[in-house]
Amino acid sequence: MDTPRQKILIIEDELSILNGISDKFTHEGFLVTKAVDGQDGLDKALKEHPDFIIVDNLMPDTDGFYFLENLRKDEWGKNSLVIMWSNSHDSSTIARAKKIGIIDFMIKSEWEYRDVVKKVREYIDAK
Amino acid sequence: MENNKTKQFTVTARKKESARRKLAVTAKEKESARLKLAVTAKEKESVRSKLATVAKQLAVTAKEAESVRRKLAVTAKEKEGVRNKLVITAKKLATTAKEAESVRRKLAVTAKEKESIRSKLAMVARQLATTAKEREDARRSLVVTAKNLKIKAKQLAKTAEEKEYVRGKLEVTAKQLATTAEEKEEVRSRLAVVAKKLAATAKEKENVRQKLAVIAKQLKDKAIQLAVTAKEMELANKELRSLDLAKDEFVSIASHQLRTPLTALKGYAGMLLDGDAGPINDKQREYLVEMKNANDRMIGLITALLNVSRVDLGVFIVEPERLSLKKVAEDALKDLGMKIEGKKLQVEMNFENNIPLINADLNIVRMIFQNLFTNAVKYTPAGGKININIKKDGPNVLISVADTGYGIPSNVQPKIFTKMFRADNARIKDPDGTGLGLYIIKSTLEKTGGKVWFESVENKGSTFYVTLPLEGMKKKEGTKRLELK
Repeated sequence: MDTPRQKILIIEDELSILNGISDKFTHEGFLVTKAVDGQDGLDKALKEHPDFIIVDNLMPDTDGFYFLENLRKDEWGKNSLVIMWSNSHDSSTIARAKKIGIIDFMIKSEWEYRDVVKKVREYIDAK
Repeated sequence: MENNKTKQFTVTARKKESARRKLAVTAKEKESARLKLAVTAKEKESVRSKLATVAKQLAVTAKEAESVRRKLAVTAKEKEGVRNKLVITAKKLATTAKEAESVRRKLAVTAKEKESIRSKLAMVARQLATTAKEREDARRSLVVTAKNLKIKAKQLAKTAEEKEYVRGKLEVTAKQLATTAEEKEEVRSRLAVVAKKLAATAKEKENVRQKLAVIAKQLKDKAIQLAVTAKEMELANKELRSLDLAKDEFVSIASHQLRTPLTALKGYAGMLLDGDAGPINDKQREYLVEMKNANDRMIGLITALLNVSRVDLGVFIVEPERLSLKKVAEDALKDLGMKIEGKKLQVEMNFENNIPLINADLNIVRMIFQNLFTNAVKYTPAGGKININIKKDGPNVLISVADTGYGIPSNVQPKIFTKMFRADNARIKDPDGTGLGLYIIKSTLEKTGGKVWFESVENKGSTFYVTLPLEGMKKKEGTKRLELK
């Protein structure tokens, strides 16, 4: 019997990246949900309760922190697994994100997609 | 009858005789008294030696008494003559009792006279005594006066001496005054000279003061100008600072915007290489690898330029945290694992166990290790050796990375830490380098208490040294951290 597919929510305003990384996770067997800003991501997260969430920081209208802060207010959302990834990574941003409860902060340009998938699997398995 | 008369006469004669004797006795007694007085006078004379005059007077008195006595004696003789006459005339006077009475009265008068004389003598004696006392008083007074005179004479003598002394002094003073007058004259002359000089100096001072006033005014004007300039500079600095921050913000945004499409390219190239879109042939793989490597260099260059901007503008943050240098070094080395294996390099790392955790910014320390290790791997030919040593050195940790690589030509060694510089031999061996790594390391270390230097011989190898203070880096406020590759 096949194991159920892991559900992952990817929140990214840059479509070239969103589509690329989504395709990679789909190719790797994940059930991917895409969102383009914080509010969109929050709605889909609270509705679908994904196994893992990847959220960008800098997005128009509602950014990654808007998403994180509101997610942690939800009974389900307060314990969900989230990685923030960004190409802007000053220390105050990382510290703020870790304080809210992310499990990792990744610099997009430093990571191969396959290594991101690998890292997500490690975190899911470790849970 | 006749016989009776004779008898009566005889009795009268006897009586007369008796009276005479009595008178004689009285005279004797008087004489005795006189003698006594004389003796007393002598005694007085002996006691009061100086009263000779009185003695003489007494002698005169005695003579007078003697004269009286003699007169009395003469009188007695006369009395005797009278008596004889009486005897002779007794007969004639036998009946003249009255005459006898008269004589008796005369004798009584004589006695009174004697008494008067005695009184006079006593008075004279008293007068003499008074005179002697007065003389004694006068003598004493004279003695006192003489003493007083003597004292006065001494005083006068002393006063005279003092006067003499004062006079002497006055004389000396007069001489001195004379000398002083000369000196005064000399001083006055000198003062006159000094006064002239002072007048000249005062004039010079006035000139100087006027010059100083002019200079002060110029200085004041300059100070005002400087204050204005300082204010302008402050404003300019603020503006520059603002521009720097704007520049950094621009670089940050630009780098972020540039990295976004590069990230997308990197992702898709990776998926193609992973075969996510189906199998690819070798040529396709070769091209895709070139594209991916170029994309990574672009990402690296953007990161390096971003860091250079932050270092040059001084806006980079230093956030010290407790770090194990060994772990950071090992992690950095691990990232180069594939390359090390590909070139079959022998890498050895020696880490002294007594090195404590130090407070340092992770990104800075990791960037240093990454840069030094990457350079060593990049510029050491296959099969070479890399030796990493980390040990305590006084107040610092000394990191050394020695390789058996191509080395740095001596003629370009002074330029090795300058921005965008690359040695020719390095450019040939690795055309992809940015020439920013060592510049960023040096600039960052200089601002965080560390140092970097090197020793190198071309074609033999290089050793890079870095020191980090054991007491750690000081926290530095800023806007952005330095970013890793």
